[in-house]
Amino acid sequence: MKKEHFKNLVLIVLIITNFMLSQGIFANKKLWLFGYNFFANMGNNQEKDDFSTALHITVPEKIYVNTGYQSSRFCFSRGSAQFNTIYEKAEKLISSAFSASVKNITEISQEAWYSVLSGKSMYLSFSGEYSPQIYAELIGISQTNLSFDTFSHIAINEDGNVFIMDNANSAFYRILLSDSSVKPLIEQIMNDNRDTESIINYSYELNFDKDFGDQKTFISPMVPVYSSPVYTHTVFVENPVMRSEEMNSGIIERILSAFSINPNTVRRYTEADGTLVFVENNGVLKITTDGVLNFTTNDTGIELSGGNMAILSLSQFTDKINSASGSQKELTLTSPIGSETNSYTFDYLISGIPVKFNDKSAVSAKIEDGFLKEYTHILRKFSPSSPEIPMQPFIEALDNTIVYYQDSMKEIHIMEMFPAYVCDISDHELIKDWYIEINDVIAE
Amino acid sequence: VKKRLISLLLAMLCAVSVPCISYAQYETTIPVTAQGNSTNLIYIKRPQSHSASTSDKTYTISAVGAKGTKVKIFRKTGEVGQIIKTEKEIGASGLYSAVVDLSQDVNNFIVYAENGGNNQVVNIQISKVKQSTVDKLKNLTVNILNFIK
Repeated sequence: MKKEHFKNLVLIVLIITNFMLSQGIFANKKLWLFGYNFFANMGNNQEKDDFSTALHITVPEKIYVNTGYQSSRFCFSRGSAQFNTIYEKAEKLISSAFSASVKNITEISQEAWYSVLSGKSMYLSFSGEYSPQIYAELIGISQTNLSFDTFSHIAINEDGNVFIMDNANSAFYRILLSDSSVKPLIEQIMNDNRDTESIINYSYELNFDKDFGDQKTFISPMVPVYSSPVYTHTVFVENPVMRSEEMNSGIIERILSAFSINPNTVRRYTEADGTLVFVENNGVLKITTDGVLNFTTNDTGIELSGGNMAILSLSQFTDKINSASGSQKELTLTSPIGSETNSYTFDYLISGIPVKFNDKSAVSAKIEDGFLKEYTHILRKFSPSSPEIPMQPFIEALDNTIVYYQDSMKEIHIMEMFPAYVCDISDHELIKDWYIEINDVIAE
Repeated sequence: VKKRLISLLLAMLCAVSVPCISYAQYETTIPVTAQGNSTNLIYIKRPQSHSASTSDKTYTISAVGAKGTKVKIFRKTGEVGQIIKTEKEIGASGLYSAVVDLSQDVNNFIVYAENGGNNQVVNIQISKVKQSTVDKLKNLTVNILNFIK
């Protein structure tokens, strides 16, 4: 009889425990909500402390907090605590703006867009360009009502309305939403950074984008012009492939494994410059002594796992290579992505600041029908050090670049200008400098 | 002949030194009545109309000019302008910008540009207004623009 009692007691405890654990899962994951994307939520929870590429495909590179004052306009890079706080808020509003249930989408004027940036707002600047449909799918929304070409700029005003700029047609859209918590968040950011000197004007505010007098230099309207000092520090660069002037065999094996190449059966040879070459039926993998991995194929290529979205599969593969080689995990998408896209590029980020190799991307890849056809990855590890020193002022840096063209140019058009680690593949130390993207030099 | 030679030398000295002296006297101060002898050394891009209103504590003045043009900014105080932005030479971009503090309700500045023997004086006025007034004006502008569209 006592044994029966004991069994019943154990059974009751088990049932109660079962209910408690289930309740915990339901309460935390909110599984009951209609249309709630459990997997997207799971991913977002990881995002806070994970720098993986796959989880950052839809994350902007920088967020500017416009407080209505030029003296307190702040720029936050990916990875900072304040970036995460702001992005958490922005992400929810962007999801709502892309959802199919939103009907209130209005085209607005350029002046109205500028007015949003001049007032209290957040401005999200993406390093890649997205078609709205692909972006929607990436954030777990199957269909969106936004139907323009591509975007890389989103603004959210203090009332929670979302504004998107169509890059291809220079058109602007307002998606009418409401969120009373945006304004207090902007005010909180302003208070938290009260003692920080940050004077930023967009180029359009200074009329640097408009023709005037004998003006030769034109800066795209959305380029932030920094008037207060921007600081940099030295970053040491490591090629993880090399160890004491020899290829690190452990890393090579892990890279081969990421490419599903069996190190025992693959044909291999070493070129005169020390490049390791692995030849397989699926293609040729080369790893150079300066840490550049290159895969090419004339065959079907490597089948990528990770779902039917090529960019997600690719970023997961890139994460795998980064992990295998011990390279910097933080990468940002720099190429446009649409439904027809098959070529992609990524750049490294060091504490949210991009690394720009001369004429090269950290990762470039080509995918066809879910198969990796080409893949190049500059494998690098970065370790920031030493105290911060001020960078040369914005206009001085611009002058020093334009001086090379001045004798023959009539006009020069600057598309992008921002702080970055501009470097060569052979550099061992990096100093942050101004990255200047010139669109057009019109000769005299 | 000797007198003529001395006169010629004096004239030459004057020709060389007058621009230098007139420039030198604008090292740290400038009379508010100063007039330049040129109007096309620099073009003020912001504020386009040479006057503006803001609720901010600073204002960025922007301009465009020929390479080599030297630009200074003075704040008007009484009959003279006191230097607040030391000389900056316009570089290859042709662009110039300087942030000025708005310490008063009405802030008057003199932008002084000089290139060779030419100089230009531009008067700029920046008034401070309350943020609520700026917001009202912005909303009104956006509404009118949306209405026109």
